[in-house]
Order: sequence, then structure tokens, then C-alpha cells
Amino acid sequence: MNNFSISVKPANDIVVIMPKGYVNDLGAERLEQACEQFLDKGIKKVVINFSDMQFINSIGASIFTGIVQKTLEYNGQLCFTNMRKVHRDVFEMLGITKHVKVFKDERNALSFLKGLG
Amino acid sequence: MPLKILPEKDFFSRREELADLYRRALEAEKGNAQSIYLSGHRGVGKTELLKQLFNYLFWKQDKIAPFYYSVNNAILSVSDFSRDYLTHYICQRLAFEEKETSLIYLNGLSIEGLTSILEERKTTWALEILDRYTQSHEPIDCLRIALNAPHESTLATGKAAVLMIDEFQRLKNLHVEGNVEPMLASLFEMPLSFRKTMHLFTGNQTEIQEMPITGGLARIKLRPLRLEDSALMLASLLEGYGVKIDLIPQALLNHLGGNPFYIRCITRATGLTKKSGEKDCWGAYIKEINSGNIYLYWAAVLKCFFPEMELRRNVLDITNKIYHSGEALSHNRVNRLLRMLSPGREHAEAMAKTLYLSGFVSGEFGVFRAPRDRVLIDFIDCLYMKEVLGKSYRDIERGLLERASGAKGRGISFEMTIPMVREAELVAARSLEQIGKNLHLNQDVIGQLQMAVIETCINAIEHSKGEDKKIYLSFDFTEDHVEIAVESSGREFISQETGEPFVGRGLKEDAGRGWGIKLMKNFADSVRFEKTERGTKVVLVKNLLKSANVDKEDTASNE
Repeated sequence: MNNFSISVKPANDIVVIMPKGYVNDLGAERLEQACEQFLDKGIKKVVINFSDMQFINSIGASIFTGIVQKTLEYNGQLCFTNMRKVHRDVFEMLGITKHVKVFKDERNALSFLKGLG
Repeated sequence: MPLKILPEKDFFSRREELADLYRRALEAEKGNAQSIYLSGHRGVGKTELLKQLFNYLFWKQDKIAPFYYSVNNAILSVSDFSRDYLTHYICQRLAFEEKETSLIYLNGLSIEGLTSILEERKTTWALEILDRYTQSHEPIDCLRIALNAPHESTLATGKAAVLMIDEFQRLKNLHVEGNVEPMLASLFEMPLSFRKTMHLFTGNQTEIQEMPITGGLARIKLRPLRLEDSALMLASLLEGYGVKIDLIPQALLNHLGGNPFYIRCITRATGLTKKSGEKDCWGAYIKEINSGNIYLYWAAVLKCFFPEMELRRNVLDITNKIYHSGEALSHNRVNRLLRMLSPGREHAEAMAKTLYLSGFVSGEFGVFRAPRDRVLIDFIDCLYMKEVLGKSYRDIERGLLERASGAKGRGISFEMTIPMVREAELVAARSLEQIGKNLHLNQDVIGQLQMAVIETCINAIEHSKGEDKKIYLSFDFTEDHVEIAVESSGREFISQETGEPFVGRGLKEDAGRGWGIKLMKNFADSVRFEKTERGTKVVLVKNLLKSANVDKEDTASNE
């Protein structure tokens, strides 16, 4: 799959995950696996930076409900940043944004998470 | 040529279909052929395709005997039909074996005349069939013998046959001594099942679909010409009139819906004027539907289905209401309207059914709508204005030209075809992005349309049932709105009755696919699901004026 890639920036107890390209079923599953890996390792503060995500489809978006659930199970905190309006609308439709903190950019999300202690 | 056909240069965009039918026909030699029902709207070129296939089989090989027969309304008594069918079959078979084309045209040949031809050539198998035919005195037995003749000839000679029967729906009017016996057509069931005598029949699809014969057949749908092929056809035919066209009238070609018959009529009318400007083409079109060949064609259909003169006005009234109601009308509502025009419940029922069978309205499952054929709608509108409202030709012409200028629009259109492969939807989405940039559209609006297009393409891929693994997209932009049509061979996910997608049947309910339709509806101002020649079309409409007021903020607000 050439239209999707993922990059990860772990920093202490926070991880920033950046999906890039087209998030369909396969892309979202890779994203879910990446989140799970960090949650399993005890890193419970997860930021997903959407600045490089160009497209998402309904299957991809619905897999995010799994990511949200998993984070809640680990008592973690999930933050979304750099979202285009259309993508935020999709997540709102699916009821996902009720369970995550949405920030304009990564810097704001990181300062919020650092403040949590 | 054995049958009169179009020259190769004028036989547009049907090479693939012809090759496919030819391949299927060749299977008859191995005893693997399956009989076919070739469907498609009036004027789409079914007859021409059969004739081309006949000629192909006639000249290009010598193992499978072709037979072409067009059922004639004047020859529908069982006795006459049996004789005509049998004599034509034997003559065409002889013509094929001896490559003697004159035998194909021996119309009205008596049994005695044919017998002497066969005796002269010592064609024993045919003489035996004819002998049995003449010995039989029961019309139904004669019909059976005639219908089984191809199979018997195959058994006797080892040579397979392909039988092309045009205007097949007329067989529902077969009669014995004046008593119409619609079920007699089911005597074809046995011959249709033979694998060395492949039958290929066609005709008026709405009537054939109602006949008790189509089960167990392969169905091949002949689709309209694509826009680019329509343009090629128009230009090439005009050249035949010595007229060169500088600018293809795209809006008119769109209006003609890829129907080769219409294109041919308009070309002839335009060619005779020796002018080829867009206005001249539209002028020719208006003349055609008012008094030209298109008028004559549809008027003949109207008169054939509604022979009683007093009914024709009612037809114009009711079709006009259905066409312009802006919604599908239920069976009950149409019946009520018909009873208002002409009292009598049975009468209304019969008329509603005939309206559907004639093709003037769509209504296979009792929900009546305007047909997709915009030319037919114009024909009915013209006739209604002329005959019911008493308007002058000038008024009608003005009205149609206004509508034509609406069809031309002020916008811009893009078309693309993508294969049904994984992530092909991204090609459509990225194209939309570039179009949006070129037209300086709001990026949020483009983003929303991209989402909707991605979901629509995925649906098309998931629900495709046909062999045509392609998605046809068109993007039409005007100043105030954008219309995106995504068409594919998928048919299953649309309800026949409501035109809406099935919930929980065609759609996977797991993994969030049920959200696809919700997303489309959320991001477009309206979503229409239509059945088309190809299969299914989903039309997304977005009002750009309304969307111009949306919040332009591109990112989420800071918490």
C-alpha cells in the first residue's frame, strides 16, 4: 500500500503518531496497532497529528472507535491535532470527538498533556 | 453482404460487444453455448449488432450456421409463423453452406417451392423436416417442428447454429385462428436449452421482461455509446454529408444519451442543411422531434400501443403529469389520475401497464417515473403542447431552445473512467482537488466532495456485479452548483421501488460501511440513486452558493 505511511515520535511518556496519505481500513489498522504497542508499553498519552493525512474513508474512520476504546481501557489520554474541518466533521459524525481532546496543533496538545503530570 | 449492415467506419463503439457475442457463438460448436437475451433501450443498436454478428458468422467461419429472423407483426398466426420461420431457416442455412447470399432473400417462398430447391440440391435433412411439417395438420405441432428444425439440422449435419431472433416480444401475440395465445412463446424454452443451437434474441425490453421465457438465459445489456464515441459518430456521419464540424455540440450529445438512432437522425437532419454550428444542430433536433424521423418513430410506437385515438390524448396528459411531477408516482396515484381522465378501474389498470410496456414511463414494479430518455420526454412534451394545449410550432421551438440553453449551462464538465481496483477512488478524489483549484472553489467544499466521492466509488467497487469493472465519473460545475455522477454496473444496492439503497442487505454492516451512505448524504446537499443502462448511478449535488457561507476555518479551535 503506497498511499499510506506512519511516523512515530516517542518522547518520555507521550507519543506523537502521524498518519500520512490515505487512511482506509488497512491504514487505520496499522494506526491502531501502533497505538496499542505504545499503550502496552505503558505510554498512555497519545497524540495523533493529522497534518499529513490527506484522505480518510468511512471504514478507516470507524476503526478509530477501536483506538478510542483501547485508550480508555488503559486509562490513557488521546489527543487529535492539525485536523482539516472535513475530517473533524467525519469524526464528529461517528461520535469519536466526544472521547478525545482536539487541538489546533501539536504544540498545544503537548503542553496540555505535560500539564497532566 | 448477406444482410444489409452499416459500413465498418459507421459501426461505432460496438467492436467489443461484437467480439464477445462472436466468441460466445463459437462455443456452440463445442456444445457449450448458452442462449442469450440481448437487452437495451430502443435505438441503442441491438438489431444492427445482430446483423453484424450474422455477417461475421456468415463469412468468417464455416462451422456455425447463422440465422437471422425478425418477427413480423403481419405473420403471427401460428401456421403462418411456423412456415415463415422454417422456410427462412432452411434458406439461410443453405445460403451459408453454399455461400449463396441470394437464398437469404427468398421471401414468401412456398413449401412446394422450397421442396423443389432442396430436391435439386439433394438436401436430405431439410427434406425430411419439411416432409414432417407438411404431414402435420395441427398448428401447434407445426410450430414445434419449425422451432426444433435448427436442432434437428444440427443433429443431422453435426453443424451448430446460432439463431438470432429480433422483435421477439411480438411472439406474445401468436394466435391460433384469431385467438391470441401468449404462452405459445414458451415453446421456445426447449430450443433455447440446446447447447449447439444458441439462440440470441432481442426486441423491446420492457415487453420481453414480462414474457415467460427469460429464465436460464444469459442476459447481455447493450449500453449507450460513450460521449466520446457519440462525438466521433456525429463527426464521421456529418462528413458523409460533406459537412465538417468544428465544435462538437456536447450538451446536445449528452441530451441524446448515447443513442445511435437519435444521433443518426440528428446528423441526417443537420447534414442536409449543410451547416454544423451548435445552434444548427439544436435546430435540427427540434425539427426531428416535431416532424422528423424521431417524431415518426415515437408516434408509431404511440399508435401501436394505443390504437384507439381517444386514448392518445389521455396518454399525453398522464405522461406529462408523470414527467413533470418531480417524484415517482405510486401505482394507486397513477390509477386515480387515469380514472379521472377515463373512468373504469380495469381500463386504468390496463392503460398503466401499457404505458410501462411501451416504454413511455418506467414502472416495472408499480412505481411510475419519467424514463431516462430525454428525447422521448421532449417528444411527448412537444406533442402535448401541440395537440393538447394547441401551441404553435414557434412557441414549441422557443420553449425547447430555452431548455436547450439550460442544458448547455454556463459551466464546465469533466469526465473520467477508472478501473475497479483497490484505492482507485483516490484518483477520482485527487482529480477533484485539481478541478477545485482550477475553478478557485472553497477548499472545504472540495474536501467534502472528496469524502463523498471516495465513499461513492467504494460503494461502486463493492457492489459491482457486471463484467464491466469500471467506474464512470462525470463532474459538472456551474456557477451555483456542482453535480458529480458516479456510474457503474452495480445494481444490487438500490431498491427497485424507492431508488434508495438497501440497508443491511447490499451494504456490509460491519466495519463501518453503513456509514458510507451517511457520509455521502452529510457532505452533499442531495444524493440521488438512479438505475441506468450501465447499472447504477449515484448523483451527488452540492450547492456552491450555500457552501460559500460555510465556516472557512480550516483547523480545530484551540482548547
